[in-house]
Amino acid sequence: MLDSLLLGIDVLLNPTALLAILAGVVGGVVIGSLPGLTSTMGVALLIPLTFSMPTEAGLAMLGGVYLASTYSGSISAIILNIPGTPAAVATLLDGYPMSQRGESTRALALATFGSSIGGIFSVVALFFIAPPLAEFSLRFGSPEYFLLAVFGITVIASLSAGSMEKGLMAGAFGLLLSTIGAHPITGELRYTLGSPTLYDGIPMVVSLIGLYSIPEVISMISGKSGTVIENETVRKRSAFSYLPEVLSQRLNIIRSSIIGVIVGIIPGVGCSVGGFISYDAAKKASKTPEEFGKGSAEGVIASETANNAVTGGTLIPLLTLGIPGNPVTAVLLGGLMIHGLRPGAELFTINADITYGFIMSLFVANILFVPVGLIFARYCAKVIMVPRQILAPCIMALAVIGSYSIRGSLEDVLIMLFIGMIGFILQIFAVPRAPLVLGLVLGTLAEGELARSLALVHGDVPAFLYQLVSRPICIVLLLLCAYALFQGIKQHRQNSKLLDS
Amino acid sequence: MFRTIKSTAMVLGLSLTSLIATPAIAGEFPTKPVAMIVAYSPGGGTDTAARVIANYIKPHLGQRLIIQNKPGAGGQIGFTALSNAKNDGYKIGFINIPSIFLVKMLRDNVPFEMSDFEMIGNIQLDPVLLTVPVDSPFKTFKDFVAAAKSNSGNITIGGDGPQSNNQLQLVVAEDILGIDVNFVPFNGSGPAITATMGKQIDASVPSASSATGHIKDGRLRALAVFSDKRYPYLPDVPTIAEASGMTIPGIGASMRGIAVPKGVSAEKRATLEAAFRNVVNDSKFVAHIERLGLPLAYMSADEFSAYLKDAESGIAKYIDLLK
Amino acid sequence: MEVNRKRDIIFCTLVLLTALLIGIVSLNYSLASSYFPLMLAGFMAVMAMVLLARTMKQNNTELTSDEKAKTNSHLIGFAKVFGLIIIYVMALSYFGYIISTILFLVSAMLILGESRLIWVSAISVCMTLILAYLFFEFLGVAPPESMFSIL
Repeated sequence: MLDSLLLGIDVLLNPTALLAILAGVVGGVVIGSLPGLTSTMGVALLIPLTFSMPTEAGLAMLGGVYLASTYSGSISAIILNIPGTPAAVATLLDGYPMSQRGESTRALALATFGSSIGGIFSVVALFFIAPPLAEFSLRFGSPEYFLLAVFGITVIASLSAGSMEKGLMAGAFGLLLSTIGAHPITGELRYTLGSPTLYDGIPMVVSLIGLYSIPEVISMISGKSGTVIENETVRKRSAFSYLPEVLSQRLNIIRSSIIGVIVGIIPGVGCSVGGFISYDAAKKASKTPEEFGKGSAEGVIASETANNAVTGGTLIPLLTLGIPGNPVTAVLLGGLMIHGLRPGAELFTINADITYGFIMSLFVANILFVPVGLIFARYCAKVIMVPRQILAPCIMALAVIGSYSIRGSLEDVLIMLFIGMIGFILQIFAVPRAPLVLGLVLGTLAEGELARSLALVHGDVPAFLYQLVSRPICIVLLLLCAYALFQGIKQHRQNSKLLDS
Repeated sequence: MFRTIKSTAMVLGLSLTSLIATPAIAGEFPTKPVAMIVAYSPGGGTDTAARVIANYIKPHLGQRLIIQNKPGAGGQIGFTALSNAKNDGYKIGFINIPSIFLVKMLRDNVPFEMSDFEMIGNIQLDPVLLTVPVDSPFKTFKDFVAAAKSNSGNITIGGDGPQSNNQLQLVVAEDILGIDVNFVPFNGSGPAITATMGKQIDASVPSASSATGHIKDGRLRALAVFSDKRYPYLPDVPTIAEASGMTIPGIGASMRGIAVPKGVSAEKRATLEAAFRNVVNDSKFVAHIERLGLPLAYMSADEFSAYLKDAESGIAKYIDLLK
Repeated sequence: MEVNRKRDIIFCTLVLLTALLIGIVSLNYSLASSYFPLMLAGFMAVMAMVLLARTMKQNNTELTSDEKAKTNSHLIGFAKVFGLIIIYVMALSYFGYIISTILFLVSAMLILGESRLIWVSAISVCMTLILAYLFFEFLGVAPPESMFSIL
């Protein structure tokens, strides 16, 4: 093990590799923070750039883009109330209120350090225990995925500030939006209005832009989201002075990191689910759950730590088994293979130097995005000083070009606008938007895996139900769902009592 | 203003796009970069192959090749865009066979005809495999057929789908072998392979390129490749004819070739054809493609067109089994 | 909890209508493809009715005139944003990226009340170029095709 560590460190003494990590991190921070640029696109389009680079430098750069772009979605979420990536939606719930209180530096610092720690934790997991953990990813069959989606849906309760019914309706509507397009098993086209643009459903990023950018622009020009002058005491503190605050939440960090790594290992689930589940867990474990949604430091740390812990988690099945867990890693796999990193059995033997070099560069990237992100964020934070009548058109143009560029289609801009209208309606009626995003994220998983589970047992419903109570991981997930339900009811009762008295 | 952008881009070593048209110098085609429509998202298998080609073709084409992703509706949006593109030779497309036929035949109101395209050449051919977990009781293809016959309809087989080339290959095999299995669609060959390795299903029909690494790692066993020839990266896997003793056409094999909208002049087509033929023979390109494990199978414009004619009638025969 | 009854009633009606519409459209599809959305639509309808019932039981709070004004200004804002973007999209397909984006930014800023023309034009041009560089150069996305393709 020490040998391999040395092998990895060797790579890092190479200035080209370090420069490549820096370039990747800078690129990743920019890509992730802009709504409309996704990490998948970033990695895919940068791969050709790495063709001509030395192996370690090419791999290091791709790793840097992946990690930094996962983190930096939180920057725009905190500053502008517009999440750069779906993974930042849970961060937004507390990060934006915090920055509205005049504590944006604090929120950004908490998010940055949380991300970095979660990322480092997951790289350590990748380094030491990847092979045994990878086997876990093969244990996930369709019934397990279905129950995981159901468990994810129970998180809605934690995301619904105000009325629970409204949160549930928003969640159900998100799930409904995700059913647009071809059915995952029968292939039948649904709710497409005859337009081929809708055959594959609505792209996640297009929905996200519409749901958050449009209502935000509207509030901006209606003069209700005022410029917040940063709190005097907060402004005087440097971002690094918040590191102890993050480190003091030891339990929260460990819990969130573990949740992130586990979610990451399960193929096909992704960063945002990790953030949501961890946010929910932190709220349930918190001594002050009523602070959540109003600018709780615990919420920001939980969500960001977990969604970056997912990154290392997804690399575990990717490197050991060649199984990509999300679209970014699927693209990354191609990039790794071009540079001669063949996932699988030879990874830690014949190719050990490349593998450990890559892992070490991930480690460095996780540290490097802290200064890069904080510097970038400090300039971004100035954006809110720009007069609204200038900022709003710029955000609109970014929203339009961003949603256009996902598939190079102007029709997607119209879809974005339609989703924006829904976001606006939800805002008018005080309905939370986060459950809708959760529904969108989990919809295909829930519908597809339910249908696939049934197809695997020839549509025999009792046989499917028997599977749910007989497979070990299913039992665990069922218990988790039951616990979540119980907690939800308990909380609901408490709230009602509070109101009665 | 654009000069500054241009120089910055060059300093950064970034590739330029068609945004900045190179000043036209009177002379032979092509005098400006050629754009290639790819009907799938950045980062997918088709896109990766296209970008590798683009990276090596410049010396052979004399101009850069720019990738334009037009993903959506299983390729329909990109293929439609290609059929409507200007036929001046500067807009070409990467087309996927048999996806383009499946889109056309399985859907209503598809706004292109196969006659809207003219072929330039085929680059890749990625056949379908039948794979099982490495400790599966099916040691050979014959074991599998016997089990499928004695336990009709109960063997579950995963694969990309629904209505994919993999499913097409499976229904063709079922029809000719006289067996009936339970096909369960997955979101791509990758998830189907994962489910096979985790023994969630009995077998799967992934594309050969996506399964090769797992077979070499000893997690999967390939029982047969649905092709006339053995797959170059897996020389020990028997062809379907060798494994079953029957002729089963490999029309489910996924092919990626170059096409142009009809009406491009013969000289321009010849220039393009030569450029793609030369890149496929470029040793640096081949080395790169081999590292990715992508199977090359070059066909000239005439061979490719002839192949497509056969494939079209072959697929039409089985299309009802996919509906 | 204090609720505004009128607003909740409008919202629940909207949800019920949406659920009904989804239910009707779903009848066109086979049950295998539509049971999941049908279940969700049903669930949404039930939740809307639960909320409606609860709203009726609780005390109604009238909206303050301030809140009403806020909603009105939001509606006007929505109309502006919606209209501007629709026109922008149409312009994109006619005049291409550069011209449309500069025109869009300039007119949006003027409509929203900025009057310093130098600032407006400088920022519009810069923003247009930044976006062009980011998306069309750096990420290599093909710019929208226009009828009079200048860029």
